[in-house]
Amino acid sequence: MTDRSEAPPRPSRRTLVKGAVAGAGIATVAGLWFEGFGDPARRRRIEPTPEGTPLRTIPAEDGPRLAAVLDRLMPSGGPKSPGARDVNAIGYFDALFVNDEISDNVQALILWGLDKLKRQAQSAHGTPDLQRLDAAKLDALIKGMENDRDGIRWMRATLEFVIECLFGDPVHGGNPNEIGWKWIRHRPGTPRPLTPGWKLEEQP
Amino acid sequence: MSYDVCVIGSGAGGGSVAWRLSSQGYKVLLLERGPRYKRTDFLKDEVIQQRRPNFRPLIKNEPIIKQSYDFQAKQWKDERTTVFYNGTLLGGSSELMSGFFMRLKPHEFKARSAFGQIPNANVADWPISYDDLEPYYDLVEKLVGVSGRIVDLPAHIADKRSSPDFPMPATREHWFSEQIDKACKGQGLHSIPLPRAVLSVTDNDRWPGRKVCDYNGYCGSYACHPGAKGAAGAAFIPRAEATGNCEIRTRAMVTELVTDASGGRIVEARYIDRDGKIQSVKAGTFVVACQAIETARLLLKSNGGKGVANSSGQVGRNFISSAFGAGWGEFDLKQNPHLWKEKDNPFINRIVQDYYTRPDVRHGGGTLNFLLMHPNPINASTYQAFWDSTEIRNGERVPVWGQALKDKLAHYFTEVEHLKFEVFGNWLPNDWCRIELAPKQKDKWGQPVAQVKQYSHAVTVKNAKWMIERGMNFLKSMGAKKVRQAPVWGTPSTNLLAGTCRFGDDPKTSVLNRDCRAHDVDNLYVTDGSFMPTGGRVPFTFTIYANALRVSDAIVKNLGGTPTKPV
Repeated sequence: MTDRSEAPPRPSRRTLVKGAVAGAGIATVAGLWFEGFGDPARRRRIEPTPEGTPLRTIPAEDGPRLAAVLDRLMPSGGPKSPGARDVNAIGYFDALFVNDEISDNVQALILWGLDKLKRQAQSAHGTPDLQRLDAAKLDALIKGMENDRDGIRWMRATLEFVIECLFGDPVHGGNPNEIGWKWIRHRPGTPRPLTPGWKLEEQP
Repeated sequence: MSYDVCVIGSGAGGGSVAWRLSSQGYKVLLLERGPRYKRTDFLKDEVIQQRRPNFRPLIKNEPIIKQSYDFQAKQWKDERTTVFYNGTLLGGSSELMSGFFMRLKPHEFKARSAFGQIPNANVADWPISYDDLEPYYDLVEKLVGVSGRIVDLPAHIADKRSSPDFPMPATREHWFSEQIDKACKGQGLHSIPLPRAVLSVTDNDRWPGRKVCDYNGYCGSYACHPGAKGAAGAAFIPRAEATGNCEIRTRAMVTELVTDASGGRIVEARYIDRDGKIQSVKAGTFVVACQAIETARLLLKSNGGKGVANSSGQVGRNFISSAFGAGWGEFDLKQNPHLWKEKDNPFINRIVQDYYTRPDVRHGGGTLNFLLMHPNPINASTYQAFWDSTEIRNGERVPVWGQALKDKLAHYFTEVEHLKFEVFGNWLPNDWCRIELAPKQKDKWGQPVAQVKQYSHAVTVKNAKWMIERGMNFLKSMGAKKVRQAPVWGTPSTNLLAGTCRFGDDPKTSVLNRDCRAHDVDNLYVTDGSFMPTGGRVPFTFTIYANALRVSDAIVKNLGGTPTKPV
């Protein structure tokens, strides 16, 4: 049984950096991230929802709202500087939401943030339609998410998926025509996966 | 069926023993909790190899409780995590190592005698010497395949070797390597080519089934497609299977070792198989190599929760890691356009050990290791967004996002090349860094999970900062710009885990004897990094391999055999 009163020697104030406090936060988010990933037996291929195709899991009215937020987190600048819209991040997110590898908690965190932004947009600008706000207004709302820990965790979780969509191998449905890699002049390692939706197959 | 030896865990400490004993004619059963994958499926895919939990369990199924002491609340605070599972697959975490194969210095084996004890630390001498381990370092270089180059060094830095050179030449090197050599020369330091467990040649006679490195730079945290990296799954397990004496069962989660009535012999290991059924294995000898945390956990919860091999009360104690730190600086690609062409040369492979000890700080000092940033674009970008952020609010780093992030990424990837250093320093063993069984939390099988108390000695942290300062000054001397460091967490590096079952000659203060056999149990050995009373100032895998082969010979002798010369 742990003796919870057993105290180690106290480090001096300068011994550890402030960042160590934040470590717990990111670890929590990482923990959430991994929470819902299924056993290999339960996994299935991730297919993003193609551009122009109805979203499968994100409610129709929320799709454009979330897409607008993603594009402010990683603004699109065309082929030479692609962002969320350029890589169809909303389709990638839609696929992640139906993928049983992805944690319910992460989905909940992303949707919690979207709902909060919608409410704030309604309150400040009279509409929950975030896509109707100009960039400065939407940026101000997103900036407001930095004011509390949950908001920062939402931002990390959301941004991580945008980055994954932008710089993951195209076989996973993002980074079309390696547009993200070309932007950052990334040379992928070889051998690369060739089959969309491939996964590591467990051997007997 | 009964086996001569049951090995639990297939990483550096288990896979090597399984090969050695099966090659000596013993019937070996190797149990691994993780899955087995085809090596040819280890593609360079960051999403699969890094972003999906193929190499670690799910937190909801198998959490570890990480505890940090809250000095304000005056209690240990819990956090559920899986970060300490860094290689749950056949081959263990050796599959994901970088393969930095540095030897311990002779004085590391007598750290307490050489440097003394200091308050709040539990430094102990090893019961063996460098000379006892040297033949096995040499053997590992030949069997696993270590590439490198010998240079003239002063006696206090040079390795004492029984072979004049490495079994194969060093890998190709980056332009930075020569610049480090020059900078060291100018400062009276010694630039040492870093030995790597990476094949620089293909040689099917010496390293069967493995191919030369493909120079992608995807070493650390990636399982190696050509098998160039000397992971247990590449270097030892195929050889073990080829003997015909080694049976492997994956997805076998060992839950308990059971002793006879006297408590002095293990008679059975129980495990849960891939179908969730409880199985039993009988063997003459049991070898545990589940990595420091899980090894301690298994011993503590064995025998119906009474524990085994723990009359000393030392199982789980003195959990150690490395006083880790890192920093990096930038070199402008416009001013150094030739660096674009260096992308085919991912290895810098240089270390500096002139700071290995410090006259002013006992147990201080360490190794500086120079390398490039990992080529992972997703991980690098999230680091830029989350950790390279300088704004902290409510105790959280505020992510960089929007155009500011895009500018940051464009700069990071296309305008500069980074030269990075890492620090390996002594992690002082202490009473507050240890493994226990969590009092309430269970895994999906109803087994108590490990509880990791993490606490770093003040000297460990101060020394890491001192080493980081040396590294940053060195980068500046080379002309690097924007030199900065990673945060010093003061927590164990999750890929450098040792201690918890230290070996020694006194059964009252150690768990294992000098042969890494449990003082209390005649037929139980531990061959992962758990045996280490101190970890020294280099990564552990090379030493774990060498010690596991040393212990293998002891097991052979204990079984009445005579170990043959393997190479």
